[in-house]
Amino acid sequence: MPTILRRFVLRPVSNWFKGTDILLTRLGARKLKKQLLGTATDRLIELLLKAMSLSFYLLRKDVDYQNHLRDSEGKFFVGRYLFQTTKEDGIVASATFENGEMSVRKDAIPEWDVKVTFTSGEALRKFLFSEDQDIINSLAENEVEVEGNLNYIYKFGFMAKDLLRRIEVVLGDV
Amino acid sequence: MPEGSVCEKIGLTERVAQLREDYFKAVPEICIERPKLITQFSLKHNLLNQERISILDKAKTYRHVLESRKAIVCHGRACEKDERENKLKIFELENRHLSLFAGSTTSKFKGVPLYPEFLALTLWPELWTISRRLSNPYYLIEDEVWTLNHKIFPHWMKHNILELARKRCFDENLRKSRGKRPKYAPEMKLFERLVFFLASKPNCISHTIPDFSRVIRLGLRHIIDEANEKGNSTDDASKKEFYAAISEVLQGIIKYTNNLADEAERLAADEHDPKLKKELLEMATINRRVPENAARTFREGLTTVWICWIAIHLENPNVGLSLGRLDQVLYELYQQDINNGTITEEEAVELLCCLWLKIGDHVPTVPEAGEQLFGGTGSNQAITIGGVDKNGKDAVNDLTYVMLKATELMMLRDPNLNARYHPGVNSEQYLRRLCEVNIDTRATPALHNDKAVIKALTSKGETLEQARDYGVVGCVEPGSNGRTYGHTAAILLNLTSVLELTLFSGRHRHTGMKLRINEETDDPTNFENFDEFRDAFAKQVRWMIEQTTTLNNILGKIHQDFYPTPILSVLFEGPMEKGKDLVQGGATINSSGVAIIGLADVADSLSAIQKIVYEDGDISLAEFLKAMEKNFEGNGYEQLHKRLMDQEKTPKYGNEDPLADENVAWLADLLDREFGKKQNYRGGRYRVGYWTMTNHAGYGRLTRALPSGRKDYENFTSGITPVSGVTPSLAKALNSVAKLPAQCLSNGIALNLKFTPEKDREKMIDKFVGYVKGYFDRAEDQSTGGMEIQFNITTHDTFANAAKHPEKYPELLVRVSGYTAYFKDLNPRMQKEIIDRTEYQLLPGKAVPYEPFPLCKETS
Repeated sequence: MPTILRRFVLRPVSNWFKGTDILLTRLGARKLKKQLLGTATDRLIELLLKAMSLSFYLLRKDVDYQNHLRDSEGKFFVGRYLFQTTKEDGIVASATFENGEMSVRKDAIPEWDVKVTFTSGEALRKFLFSEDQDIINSLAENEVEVEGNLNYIYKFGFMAKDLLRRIEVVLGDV
Repeated sequence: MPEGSVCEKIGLTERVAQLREDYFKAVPEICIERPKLITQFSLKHNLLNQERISILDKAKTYRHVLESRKAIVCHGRACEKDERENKLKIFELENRHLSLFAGSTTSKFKGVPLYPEFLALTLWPELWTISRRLSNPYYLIEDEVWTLNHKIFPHWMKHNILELARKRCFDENLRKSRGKRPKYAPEMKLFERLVFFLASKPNCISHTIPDFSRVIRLGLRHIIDEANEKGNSTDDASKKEFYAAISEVLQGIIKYTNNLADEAERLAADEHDPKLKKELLEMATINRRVPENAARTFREGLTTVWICWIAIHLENPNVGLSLGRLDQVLYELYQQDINNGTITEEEAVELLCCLWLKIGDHVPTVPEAGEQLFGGTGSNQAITIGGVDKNGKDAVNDLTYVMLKATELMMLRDPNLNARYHPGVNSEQYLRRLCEVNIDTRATPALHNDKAVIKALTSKGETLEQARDYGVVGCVEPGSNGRTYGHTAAILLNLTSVLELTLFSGRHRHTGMKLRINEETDDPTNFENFDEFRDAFAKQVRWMIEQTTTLNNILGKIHQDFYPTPILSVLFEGPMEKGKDLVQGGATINSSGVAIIGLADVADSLSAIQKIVYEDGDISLAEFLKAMEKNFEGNGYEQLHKRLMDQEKTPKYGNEDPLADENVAWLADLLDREFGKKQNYRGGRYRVGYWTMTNHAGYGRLTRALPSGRKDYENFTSGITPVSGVTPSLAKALNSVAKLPAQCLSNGIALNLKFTPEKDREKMIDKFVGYVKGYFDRAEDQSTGGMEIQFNITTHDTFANAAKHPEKYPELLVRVSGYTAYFKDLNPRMQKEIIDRTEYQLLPGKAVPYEPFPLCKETS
């Protein structure tokens, strides 16, 4: 009985869920990619930070990924980011990276390593994701203003692009 | 004096042809060897957390890199672009033919060296995509991405030059504001906005010419002994440390070259081809000998230069480091070998061709965003030939012609050949040969007028001997060989941004920024005459100069604290005598250089305002500004625009119009005078030049319409060249530029001219020579003549075709505004600028009419 149960019930159901799990992951990834690269709203930064935070959580047991959050001395990356739009009552989001984890807040942290002020979600999307990056125009046109240590935004740009790359791997786009 | 027919019949050898083919096929690959070694050493010795880094610690760091890096005699593979699949892939190098020089600037066949102390971290966001970016991709494998992300870049986040400077400015302002969150320092804010100026110290100092003659003559071992002796005989702690550092780092160079010898011997042991075996063993012998010891032959002299060149690039970013007067420095060895039959002219040409390829084995790091300002640039390594010696005598020799031949055969963008010509001293035969090579290569060498340059340098304090011994740095900047530590690209100032602030009472239209200056910013619509306008402009210029030089000096002090340069210091006159590093002011001459972008556009704008608003009174300035805001469209503004673009109706620089020429001269004098008042962090003064690289295109897209009639976001004009399309007469264009006083142009100029290739080659050369002589040698107006001139000998239509079909013109060489580049590597905006440059037919001396080349939508 247990063998029959395992072979004819549990295993097929498990396989079905496995397939569903992959399917759901793919659907989620496709939607996320579309939201990140498509027409961006001001909420892009919240979406991006949530996606990164989720990715951090899902990969917390992945030794290889965790190693890449550390430097070669074994210390975890520590970074504090503040993102805000220029609009009154606009979006504010903060992200803190420490101990291999990422926490996201919907308000401004008092101390930050870098502050990014952007005019719109589209401006931020161009700044972070465009392969044909137009940083010069973004900065010169006041679309994006960066205050603080620029190297932190370069690191963030790598993490954002890395997230996109992982999505593309799931989707089989690379 | 040597005949111009030296090397006439020499062509490419099979060896050089194969190496050249591989060179052009290869695309750049990022090399992580240097940053990996530097990071490891810095962490092990806790250098990154120190308040400053001593020259001895730096010397030990570089010694570690030199001794640990891979000794490469021949590369096994390189990277190419697979056009069908549109991606980069590896290909095997056949190595049937060896280069005659061992060693490599990076570990790659054509490498991108990374300097995490400077701007390498700007590549971080694009590490996953850099191999497939549209413009000038760099190959990078996944393992290397992770190494950079995990083991290298994180350690430099708080320790590269720009962040150290920003932090220092912030802390200083915090102190001044007594703990309250300070307002941003204006100079830093302006710099970050990009549109006002660039300060290049976050990327490098470099931009200088070392002197190889001592090392060639004496060898490194002798200099080590000298350093040890000087260190032992002084009680001054900082001098002791300096000499110890010199001894330390030179040991590293000797070890490296011995490693190359070991590798050559190892390869020889396994080599079955007797010819290759012999070459490898010969190479090993040479590398055991030099640069540790004095060079005895021409090849040993060249090897000394090459090995020192590699070492210099491990220390200093590959931007504008230049090799100087190699035809002078190596002539004795060359002549000796020719006379005693050690080498033939053909062999000398082959040696130089191999060396030229080695010199060009790397490209600078340019992030995707930087492609718009610097796209397509090589490392701008200038070599200078010809001119006069320190006694004013003709210095052109056989080796000058051999180097010209090598350049003519190879047609590479790096090294960037610059030829000095002294009217009345150098022969017309030599000048003719220079013009010939320009026609054959289409773009090189640039020509420099000794009379004007020597005058410019002596006016800034150089002795006559020092000035006569000038070489060209990077693009076109003159500096006394091995004496001037001049950081010739310290500041790149967008002059049109100053005009913006004047016109719009301190507001910059494109960025929307409103700037306050110390005094009231006047409303120009209230001015009653042109003098008031010019005074207001001058006020803005002074304010901008204050910001730029303040920032440059802040950055300079960061270099002094964290980035001493022991290797370069050895190769200079001054540091060994003073016991002082170059960056601390050890050189004999310690200037800083400024390059002005937008001169012609601003000059023509001033002339338009003067003539139309104040002299003719045809339009008020307020109305003029409205027309500019509307981009000269609607409300009848098209008529105004038509008038502005007609040189018969509105004075334009480059037509010998007294009003226009006077405004250019006034600008040049103002900038030279005001920058010259400022002292840099090494105790020297600022010098001004007019060359623009590709910045005139990059800045153009950030700038709205100007009073000159230039419309929104159009390219500026390059260098000191008059605006395209408004100077129909070649002679008048040359005369206008030649009249500018040389003493105001001491950081060099780039006059960029385009000529139509003519069917009658001899007649073309005759005219070519005639125009250059007329430009340089000015008996009629007693001036020193035009300072510099450079050419593109390609038609508008050929360039347009090359833009549409780059695959058909893979080696089309162009002069940008200073350096040479391959046309296909330039971004579309820069290509358009070159296509639309005024093209002159030499025989009638007139401009060829043309249709402006359309910019494709996604890049406009």
